[in-house]
Amino acid sequence: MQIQNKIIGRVMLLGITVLAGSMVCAQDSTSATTQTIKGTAAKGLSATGIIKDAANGKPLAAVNVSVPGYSGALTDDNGRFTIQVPHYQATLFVSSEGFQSKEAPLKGGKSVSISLYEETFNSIYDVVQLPFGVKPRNQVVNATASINTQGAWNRSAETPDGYLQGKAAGVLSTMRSGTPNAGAYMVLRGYNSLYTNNQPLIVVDGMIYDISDNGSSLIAGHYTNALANIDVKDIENITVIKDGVSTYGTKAANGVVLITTSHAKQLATKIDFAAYSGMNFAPDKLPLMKSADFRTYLSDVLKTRGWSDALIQAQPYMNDDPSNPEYYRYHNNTDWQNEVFKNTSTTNYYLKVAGGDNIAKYALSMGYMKNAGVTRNTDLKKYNVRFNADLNLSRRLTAGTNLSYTYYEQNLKDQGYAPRTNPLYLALIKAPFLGKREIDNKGAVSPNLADTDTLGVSNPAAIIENMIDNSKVYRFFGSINLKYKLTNTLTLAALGGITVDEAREQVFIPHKGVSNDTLSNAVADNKLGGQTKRIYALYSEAYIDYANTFNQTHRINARAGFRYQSNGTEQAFALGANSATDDFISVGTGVPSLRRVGGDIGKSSWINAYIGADYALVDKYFLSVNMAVDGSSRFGTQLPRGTEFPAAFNMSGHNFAIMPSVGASWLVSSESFMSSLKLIDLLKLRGTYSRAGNDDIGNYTAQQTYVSQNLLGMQGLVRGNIANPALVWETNYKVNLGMDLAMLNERLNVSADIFQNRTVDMLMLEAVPAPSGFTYAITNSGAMKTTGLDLTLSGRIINKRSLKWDVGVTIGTYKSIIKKLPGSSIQTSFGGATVISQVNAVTGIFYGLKTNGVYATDAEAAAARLYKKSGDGSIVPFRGGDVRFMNINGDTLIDNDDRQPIGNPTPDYAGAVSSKLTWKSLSLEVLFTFSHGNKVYNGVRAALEAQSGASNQLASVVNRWRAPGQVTNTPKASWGDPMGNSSFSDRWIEDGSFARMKMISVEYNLPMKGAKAIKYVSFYVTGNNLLTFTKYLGYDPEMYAQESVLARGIDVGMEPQHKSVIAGVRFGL
Amino acid sequence: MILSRSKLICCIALMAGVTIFTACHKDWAEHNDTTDDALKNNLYQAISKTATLGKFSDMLVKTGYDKILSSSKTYTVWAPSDQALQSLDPAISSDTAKLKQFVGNHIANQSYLAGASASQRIQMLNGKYNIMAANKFDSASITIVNQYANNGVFHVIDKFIPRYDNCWELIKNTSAAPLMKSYLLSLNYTGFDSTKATQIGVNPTNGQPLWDSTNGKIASNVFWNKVQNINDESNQYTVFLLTDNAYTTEFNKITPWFKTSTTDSTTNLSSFHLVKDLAFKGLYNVADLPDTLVSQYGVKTPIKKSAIIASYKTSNGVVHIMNQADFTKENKFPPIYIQGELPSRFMVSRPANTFYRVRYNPLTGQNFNDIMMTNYGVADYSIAYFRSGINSMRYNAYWVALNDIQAGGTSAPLWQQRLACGFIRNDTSFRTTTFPAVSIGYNVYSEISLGQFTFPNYADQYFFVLGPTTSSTSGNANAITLDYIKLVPAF
Repeated sequence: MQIQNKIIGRVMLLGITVLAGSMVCAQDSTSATTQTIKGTAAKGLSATGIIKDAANGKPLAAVNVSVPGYSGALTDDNGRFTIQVPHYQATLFVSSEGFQSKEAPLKGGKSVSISLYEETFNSIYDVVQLPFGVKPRNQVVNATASINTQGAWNRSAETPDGYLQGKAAGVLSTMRSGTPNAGAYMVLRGYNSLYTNNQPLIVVDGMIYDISDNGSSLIAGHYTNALANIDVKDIENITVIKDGVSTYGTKAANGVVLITTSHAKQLATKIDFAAYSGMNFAPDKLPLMKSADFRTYLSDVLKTRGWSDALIQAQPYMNDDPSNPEYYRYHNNTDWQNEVFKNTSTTNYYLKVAGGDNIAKYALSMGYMKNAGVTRNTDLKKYNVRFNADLNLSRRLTAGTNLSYTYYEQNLKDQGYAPRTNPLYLALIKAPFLGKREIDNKGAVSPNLADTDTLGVSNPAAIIENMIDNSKVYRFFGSINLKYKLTNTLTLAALGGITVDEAREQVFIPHKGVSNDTLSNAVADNKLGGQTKRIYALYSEAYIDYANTFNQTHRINARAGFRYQSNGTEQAFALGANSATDDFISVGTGVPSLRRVGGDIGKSSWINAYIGADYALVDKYFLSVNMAVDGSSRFGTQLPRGTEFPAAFNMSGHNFAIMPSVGASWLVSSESFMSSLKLIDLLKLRGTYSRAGNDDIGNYTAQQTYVSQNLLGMQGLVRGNIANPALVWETNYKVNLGMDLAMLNERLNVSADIFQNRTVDMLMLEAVPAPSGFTYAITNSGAMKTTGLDLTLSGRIINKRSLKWDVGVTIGTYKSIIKKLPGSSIQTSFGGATVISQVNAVTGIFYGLKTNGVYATDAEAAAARLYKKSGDGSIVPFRGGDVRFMNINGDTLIDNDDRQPIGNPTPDYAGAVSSKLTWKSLSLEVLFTFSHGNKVYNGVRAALEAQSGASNQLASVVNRWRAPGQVTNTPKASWGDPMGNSSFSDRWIEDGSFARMKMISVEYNLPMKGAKAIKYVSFYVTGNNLLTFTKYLGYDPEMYAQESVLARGIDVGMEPQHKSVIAGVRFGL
Repeated sequence: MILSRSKLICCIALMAGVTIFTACHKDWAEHNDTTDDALKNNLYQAISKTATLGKFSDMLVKTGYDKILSSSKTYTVWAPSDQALQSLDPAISSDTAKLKQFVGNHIANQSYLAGASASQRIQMLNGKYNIMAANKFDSASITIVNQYANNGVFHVIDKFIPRYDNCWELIKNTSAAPLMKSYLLSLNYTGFDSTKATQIGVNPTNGQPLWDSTNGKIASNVFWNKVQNINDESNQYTVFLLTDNAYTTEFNKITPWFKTSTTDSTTNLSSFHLVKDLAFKGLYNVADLPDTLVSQYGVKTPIKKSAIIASYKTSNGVVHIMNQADFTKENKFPPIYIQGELPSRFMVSRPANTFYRVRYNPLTGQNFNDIMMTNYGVADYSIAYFRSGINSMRYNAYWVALNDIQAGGTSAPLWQQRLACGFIRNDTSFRTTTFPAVSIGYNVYSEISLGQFTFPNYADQYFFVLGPTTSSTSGNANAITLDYIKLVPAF
């Protein structure tokens, strides 16, 4: 701590010195430019204009027109105004209650004609929330997307990450699953790293919001989504900053998403209450084999197991004699998917009270949500409260609070790869001829659930009814900020806050109905588990801000600041097994010798000193320069060889990162020569170059660690890793060139960006020689480059007073290419799929065998002269009914050497189309999201067409090869799959392109003429995911099972997204 | 005009929406569609639709097999063509029970594809086995192969395959060898099978299960258990039946060596001794028969092909009728070997002094196991070997007893041991014969002749290896070794 304080002191000193220097520089440059403009400026100039309503062309009266800090005027009844201007290159600022704010450059002329759209119009002049306040988007040099949620009243069940889907070009949000609160895996402009975090930095009300899932879950396939702690209805604005964010230093490599929660806007007390209720619809079932086809399949596959005819006929399910006592147990036709899925309901209440007086304004909101998943016996209960206050403590001192507390409790079920306990998977593989409940010799059905069956498969209904997967999460996230106006131009500000987060999990896998698990030293009848995960983070920031305008020509805004974050995580788990009966579900009741406890503690701290300046010349030319210096407890103690000073330096044995950025933009349309082009309202060109970093390199990776080890009952410590004292952050260079265009009187807006993100010092797991005792060391030995394009189009197609139709399109494409690896390629496996990352190739491409149908006859197979090396080393020829694998390496063996790239899980392009049609008090909003060209490994189908065991299979397996001469694309059934027919190949790679109607919503605002008590009443009906267009043969082409670049597009059987319809009412008091 | 334009846009949007809705489908149907028409039929449907199988198809309906072949298990059908069925005996087609057996002889569980080079015996639904090889089904040729349906395959064959009796059924039905048949049938008994019985309680005194009196009862036969289970369909057997003349000749030949107190028991013992070497595992048609077969009792049975007067194919092998057996007494009564390392009893337990050894015999070039006892320190010590059913005849006795520890001389004297026989274990008074003591030479691996036993009656016997009559505690003076005792009939 002593050392840390010293460092902090030094960095602050450095920051202040640099800041002072830059101030001087800025002053110098300003005075130089001021001189040239001064010559053209003259007192007593005036400009005139007319302001109209864009919807009907009628003049607007009493609109505020101003040259800030210089002059102001109001329009008359004819919409006309006259205003003093400093020079004819000046820009007029227009604002009026109920209408958009707008800027009108004079472009050297003396009169302007301005038309205004309504307040909610999606305009280039909308303000964007930036790390240091708001700015109209036309003045911003960065590539940003700003989403004003307008309360998001029709998206009540969404989490912020899911809400963001399709809202901003370049944000590829992929829904993790259909489980409530699971949210989406967000990637901003592609990947920047293979092994570290690829999600953008989330900053909520100025404070860094930790979204990492600290430690794994005991619940298979479950992800504790931190963003679920924010009620989307509390959000006022989400701004996505895609480039030039070096001020967040080594946390900003993946871009920054700023979330601003809503504060009271007016003094009058305003009460909003909303209530929603809806239905979630069970997903469409996968077409499986029915009892008869399954039994035929089973007798085929058991024959290939080497079972004799007599043994097969002796199986109880082969008995067709009703007098046999086993008959009724094995002659059912159960649709197991029905036993797992169910239509469920959702309820949501929300109350917000806002108001206050001159001194204190507050916004208090409370929410309650109950949302059941479509899996039976799963649900979510969420309670959240937020208190946002703004205090004018004195004329110069203002303060604010943003305090939020969320608690939610989820009953879940295992998902993904959990073959014994994932009810969804079990429902697919469970024999349909079995019954859900116990059946006696006479066919009478007992209320007791059936136990694990003779094929060793758990009863999905037992999992649904008796397995416990419970998760309880709370998070307090609160900050207090102070602003002190030293002078009119200098402001001091400070912010401090804490995050306290805890997630508790309880897991119980019952004995009855669930197949036993084999532990290292025992067979587990039932399993018990408990886990607690905690995050405690302290965040503080202080900065000084300078803002001034000189001669109505130069505007400067400079700042210097300092951020500090300390982060602590803790994970503790206890696992047990074999409690006496299924009524004892806590870990303590398990057999003591099988009890296992463990955990993890992580601590890190981060400091960041930054300076920056924004400069605007005649509101036409914009320049922004920023720099941050970062230190972190995670960095190593030595600089890597070859690191030059401008990138990093070492002070007192600590590495520091230097993260500069520069950005400029030019409002071409404000130039005089553009005044004749009436078609174009605004044209802006912008560019940024910045450096940012990624500090997600592990808390202790740079240091030597020891881990406990048990050897024959003796406890000891062994080395846990190879220390890398030269470990540094990943550095990311971002170049962005963009253009914003508004034309046809703002009816059409286009924003386009091309970008390149280059990661160097990318964290890699570098293989080390075996004698070291380790398999890999963590080094900064990789590099990656991502290039891409973002495009946003928005247009008002119909613009009438009572009928308006807005359509928007966002589309983004990117390509992440590995530029450097310690070896030539990396292969990773997840969920049965293998992906390869190679130098000069796209990240994480599926790597497997290519196939070309099935051999119809033995002769045909013999002619191919291909062989497979079996487990015992013998060479076996392919026969009729085997898959025709493509042999690429010239030998006659089909093996791993014949693998080749078979698909890219990254979409060619992805985006969304949105539409909003408003007719009088009725509006219809639709959001389509789409993804094109991404390949998906259908692991579920691979398991359901493998034909290698006693699992039920898809109906397509009826087409399997039965006899020579049969031409089919489904191979024969063979127990254990000795010929590898179901190995990872292009048979399971599918086109995952989809277009989904993510949301369709109708809103009706009841006209409330004369009613005093109730200010407004609105009705909503929202449908989610009602339509999905895809060729994908699975529940859902959109899923993300694991937080890793290398897990994209791998379908391991997550709970699918489902259709839902929610109706709601909102009224204001 | 402008308004109508916006209306027009609305209409277009609406139409687009409707198109999207109607276009919404999943591609599952395409993926799962049964592309192969053959897979849309079950086996019965497929057979009934095959033009040349009209008669067989009718038989399936008549026997109820159509329902089985429509069910959801997997089957293989070898369907005789209409032409093949023309020659079928009307006695079969008119008798439903027989017809069911007949049709069941052409259907098997599981799917068996023709064309495989190795032949396999496949059990049919009537319980019988038939052999399929490459493109043959029993004696029929498969004319149309591997026709698949959704629950199996069928092959068309050019001959029907009648249901054959198995070896036992054939013996029951034959009249060729009345004496031997009646003896074999006399071995029938009623056995008990607990897997078929129903437990009705627990015996309160010993905790054993109590079974009901009827279900567990099964018909069995001593011949099945002790010789070959020729009633078992799953294996193949070759059985020889002797005509009455041959049977009597052989019977008379061996009767003297089964002298007992009663005639009945002598007859029974002789009869069993005769038939026990007449059934063999495996199928030997006349052409394949060697001149000698070795029975499971190690007896060489001479086979004279000229003596075989008839052969009958059965579902589990073949039955040959033979009018001459010509067993030689040397073959019928092979020498008896008693292995030293398999003692029945020790006079006094001396585990610390008892060694079971593996030694190499340079004369035979093979390893052998023996027993050696040293320093047991008991006078007249004996190791007993029980042997049941020693025939009423003379035997020359030999042994191999290896001394590889005492080279002779005063420091390592050779020891002596004796061979004896008797009725009851170790009681010296029941020893009937005791041979003189023999000195066990150093490193002698050859058989040593000991003398001749004469047994007046067929009985069980104990053989003893005895130490010296006096005990000695000095060195290895009292030791016993034995590789084996050999008893050679002296007739």
